[in-house]
Order: sequence, then C-alpha cells, then structure tokens
Amino acid sequence: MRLVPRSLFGRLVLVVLAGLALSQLATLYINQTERDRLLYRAGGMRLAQQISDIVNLLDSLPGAERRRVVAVFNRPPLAVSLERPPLDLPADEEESDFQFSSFAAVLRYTLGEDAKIAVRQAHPPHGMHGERIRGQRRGGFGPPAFTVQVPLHDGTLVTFDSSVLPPVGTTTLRLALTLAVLLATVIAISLIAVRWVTGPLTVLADAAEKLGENINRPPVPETGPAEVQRAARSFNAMQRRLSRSMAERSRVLTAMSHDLKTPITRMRLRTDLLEDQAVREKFDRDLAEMEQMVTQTLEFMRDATDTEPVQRVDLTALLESLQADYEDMGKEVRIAGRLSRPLAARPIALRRCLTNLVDNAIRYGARATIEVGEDPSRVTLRVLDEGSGIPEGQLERAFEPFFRGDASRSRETGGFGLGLGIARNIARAHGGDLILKNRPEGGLAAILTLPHSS
Amino acid sequence: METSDHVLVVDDDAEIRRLLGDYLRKNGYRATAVADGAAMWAALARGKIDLIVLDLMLPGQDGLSLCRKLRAESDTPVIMLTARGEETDRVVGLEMGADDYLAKPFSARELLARVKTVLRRYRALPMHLRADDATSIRFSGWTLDVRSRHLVSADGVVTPLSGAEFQLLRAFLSHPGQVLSRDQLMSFAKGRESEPFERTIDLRVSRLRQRLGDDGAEPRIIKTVRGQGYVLAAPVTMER
Repeated sequence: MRLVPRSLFGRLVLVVLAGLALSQLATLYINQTERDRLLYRAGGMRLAQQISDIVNLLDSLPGAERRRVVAVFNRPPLAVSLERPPLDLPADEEESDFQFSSFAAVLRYTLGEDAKIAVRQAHPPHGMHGERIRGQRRGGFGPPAFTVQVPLHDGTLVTFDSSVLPPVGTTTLRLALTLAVLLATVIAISLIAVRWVTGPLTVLADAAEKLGENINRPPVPETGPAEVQRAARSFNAMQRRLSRSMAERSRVLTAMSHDLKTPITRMRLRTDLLEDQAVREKFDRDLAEMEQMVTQTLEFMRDATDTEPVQRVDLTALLESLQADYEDMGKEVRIAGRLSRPLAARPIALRRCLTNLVDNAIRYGARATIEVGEDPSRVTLRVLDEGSGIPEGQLERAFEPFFRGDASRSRETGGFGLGLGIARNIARAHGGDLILKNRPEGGLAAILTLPHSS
Repeated sequence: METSDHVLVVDDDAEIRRLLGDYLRKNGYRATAVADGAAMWAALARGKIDLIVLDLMLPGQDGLSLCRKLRAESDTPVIMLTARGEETDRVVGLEMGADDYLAKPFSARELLARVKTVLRRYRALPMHLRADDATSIRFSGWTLDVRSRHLVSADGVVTPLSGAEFQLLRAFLSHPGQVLSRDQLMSFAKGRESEPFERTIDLRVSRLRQRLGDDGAEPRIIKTVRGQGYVLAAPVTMER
C-alpha cells in the first residue's frame, strides 16, 4: 500500500485533512485547559463557601447536635469528620500550586484571617497516588481534592475531605463523538472543495485524451483556478497550432493529388485509343495504381476534416446494402450474425471503413465473410478472407501508407495503399480500433471493434 | 453500334477534349468538343445535341451554373465531369439537373457506358432525377437523406441503402403514384458492362421493400401493378 496517494485529488484531501485535524486537536487542547482552569477556580470558590458555612454552623451548635449535622453533610464529594487527628503539614506543599494556594486563600478569607486552617492537597483515592491536582484532572474536570482542617472555637477539629468525583464515563465518548463529527464534516467539505479545485484538471485531461480522436474538437473551457486556466489556454493554443499545421499539410497534399487527376485522365483516354491490347493493359494497370493512390490520398485527407454526425445506424441494413453493392459487381460477401439494437456511428464513414476492408478481402481472397459479434459494451466485426494472410511480422506495417510487403504480391495487387490506414482512422475516430490477424485456418481477419453503449 | 447521337463535350483541357472527341467518334457517335460555356451555347444553337458531357471546373461560368441555366430551357441530358469526386459534388451536380456524373480520372470506356445508359434512360423516361432539388424526402414514416444516400426511420435510426436500392427508391420518389415499368426502372439503374435484367429489378424491388419494412405479400408502400410494373403508393414530401 502506498503512503502517498497517486491522484492529486487524494493528495489534496490528505493535506487538507491532516492540517484540519491538527488544528482541531490543538484548539481542543487549548479549550480544554482553559475550561479546566475555570472549573477548578469556580469549584474551589464554591467549596470554600460551603466549608465556611458548615464551620460556622457547627461552631454555633452544642457537641451532640454537631454529630447529627455532620452526619447530614457527610456525603460525597465532601466528607466531614470530627474525629480526625491534626494534620501534619509539609511546608513546601502549600505553595506548590497556584490554584491550590488561591483556594486556600479564599478559604482563609471566608473563615477569617486569624483562623488556624490547615489545608493539604489530598492524595487521591483509588491508587491515583501522587498525581495530585494536575493528575486528577485527567479523570474529571472539577474542584481539587484536598483535606482541610479547621478548629472550632472549643478546639474541636473539623476535617473536610473533598474527593474528586469519579470520572464521568461519557466524557471521553462524547469527545470522541465530537471529533468524529468534526472529522466527517472536514472530510466531506474537503472532498467537495478539492473536487472543485481539481475538476477543471479532469476536464483538461479528458480533452487531451479526446484530441487523439478529433483534432478539431471544441476548445476546452478556460475556467477554474488561475493555474488551470493557464493550462487550458496553452492547451487550446496547442490544439489550434496542431490543427493549423495539419490543415496546411492536408491542403498541399490535396492540391497535389487533385492536380494529378487531369494528367491521369488524359493518359487514360489516350490509353483507350491504343491499338496494341497488351500495351494498353499494362498502361491500364499502372494508371489504376496511380489513380488509387490519388483517390485514397484525397479520401484520407477528407477523413481528417470529416464532420459527419454520429447517428444510430441499423448495422444489418448497412452490411446487407454493402453485400448488395458487391453482388452487383459480381463479388461475393457473406454475413454471419446481426446486432440486437442500432449502433451509434457515423454511417458514411463506417461504410467506407467496411468497404475498404471488404475490398482487401476480395482482392486477396476472392470473397469476404463478415462476422458480427456483440457484447453489452462492444461490437466486433470480423472481415475474413481466404487468401494467404500476411507474415506475422508485417501485420502492423500493413497499416502504413502504401506499404508493400511481399514483392511478388504487391506487383499483382498494388498493396494495401491507404485503405487500411483510412479504415483504422475511422475505427479510432469512433473510439474503437482495427487490428489484423492471421487466421489459424488460413487467410486474414481484419477485426474491427466499436464501442456499443446502451 | 450504329448511332448518330450527337455528343457535345465541354472541357477546358484541350487534350481531354480531343481525346474524348476521337473516342466517341471511333465508337460511332457524332462528337463536338468545345472549351467553355460561350462555345457550348453556340454549339447548342447550331444544331441538335443529344447529350452534353460537361466539366464542372470551367473558366468563366462553371459547369454547375451552366447546367442550371441549360435546364431552364432544355431537357438535354447532361453528364457532369468532376475532379473532386466527392459525394457533395455528386449531389450538387444532380440537384443542378445533371443526369449523371463521372469523377476524374475516368476511362473513355467508363464514359461511353455512362453515355449509353443516360441516353437510354432519357428515352425510356424523359424526366430528370432532378425533378426535385430536395435534400430529404419524406414518405410513410421514412426520410430519405439524399446527400448521405440513406434512409432514416421514424425513430431516427439510419438504414443504409445499396447504390441500386437508392437509385430505385429515388426513381419511385420522383414519380409518386405513377406506374413505372420494369424497362423504365431498369433505365434508372446505371450499369457499366452488365445490364440489369427484368428479374434483377424484381429482386431489387423486393429488397427495397424489405428495407422499408414493407410486407412482400401485401405491400403498402411499393405496390405491384400486374403486367405493368410498380407504383409508389405513399404521399411524398420534399424538403430542401
């Protein structure tokens, strides 16, 4: 498991979360300390008041009455007793704690300056030995634990033991709950905030990905944080430059190919007038090849600027119409399988793609078979021929423009020209792909996959 | 092969002009070749022309506007020559009233075949496909997208057509409610070397019906007229 998340989103969430958690804890600590201090002081005052009230009451009562009164007051958190021996006071302890000494001061003030009061910080019960006030705070927040001894006017010593209330169990739970709620809020808010910040980046990434499919896609919106805006602007500028330079090259190539048409036409017409049939056929072949180059180049160029809309297409009708066209030319195309629902595609481009594949299959293998396969997210069209296939190492090179593999074959057939390249471009512009495979039973399979969203 | 049909070639390339003229004459046509629109009008004024081979790209007035002007005053069939060879040219050419088109580079034999077909079609049914310069045609729930040459169903699904199916449907849609004989329908089918047979027409009609979801046993869109041919029995709306 990685400690640092991969995505910017994850990292930002982590940073924001860590920062917020730290500051929350610090705030909590400070608040708690301050609260303790206040509670301690307030609690001490109240206790001092209570003690002085009891002392004054006891002072005014006869001995027998005192015991009854003591019995009434003797309940937690204040234990009152008349039978305790005098306290021995370690001198240094009295001044050890500011809080404690201020408590003692309040006590002296309420009982009169001359009262012989002995105050000692108590050793807390239940083994929390030696922790004293500071330590006791951990369990609960409230007045300190101590022992106070006050002599009455007849010399009887009244001893008060203030015990710390047992820690309130729900306090930690409540604290944890508070923290959890805080954390959840922080996570939720930072999730939203970070999405908000990184959202434009996702848009940009998507745009860069889609640029491969369509160089002329609409520019990305230049919104969001300043840095992202800048990235979006640069991206749009890059896209403009790319598309301009591609358009420029297309124009040159198109003009060239276009201008070649007139001389080729002249040559063809001249050839048709030749008497020598053998010579005429040779000319015809060369001219057909030149013509193929020119028309395919133009087709290739046209695809780059094609803006045909995506529509729902009845693929079976498309394949059958293709089949009928080939039949009219005396060529055989077989179709196996059909789709259960229309396919979202650019019908004219898709037809051109399939025509190129079927043309190849017929040229190399006399007839073509188109197998239609469908799964929930994809359509697979396999155009099969019965030719001799392509050497494994050259399968990918067949997509290169005017690639000629086997010399003897290309002399007969003129190679693949741009047909496969065009077909693949169309497949990829649809978000699909085209690959070639040699079939184990012989012949070549052109496998066209297209996305088939529901 | 004996014919005295007079073909007028309009092309600005002198060599192509000469070659086409020679080839047509060699194949028994009378041929006149001129360089531009002005010369075309002059040739038309001089004598009867049976068919015009018109280059799309001409200096001065281009082939399309010449064709449109020509249509205003005559029915003479036109084959448009285009160097672009894109669907749009083809469609625009047909809209402007050309009867067929041929993309450069073409062979003389191809042109000859087209000349024969267009003349035959013109004689069988002296009506041009342009009859409408619609870009889409609606009939019984379907829309024919003329530019893309496919059908679109009522719920927006594209149903592609083969070339022959498109031509056949186009012929029916240009003549709704009119009985078309197999001969007439055949003349719309552009064959190169192979000529369509009557049976082929029947086969194509049945395929077209299937494409339209028209029940073959009891067709409602394209009906069979016993002993005469077929008729499109659906109202047609043209849209520009």
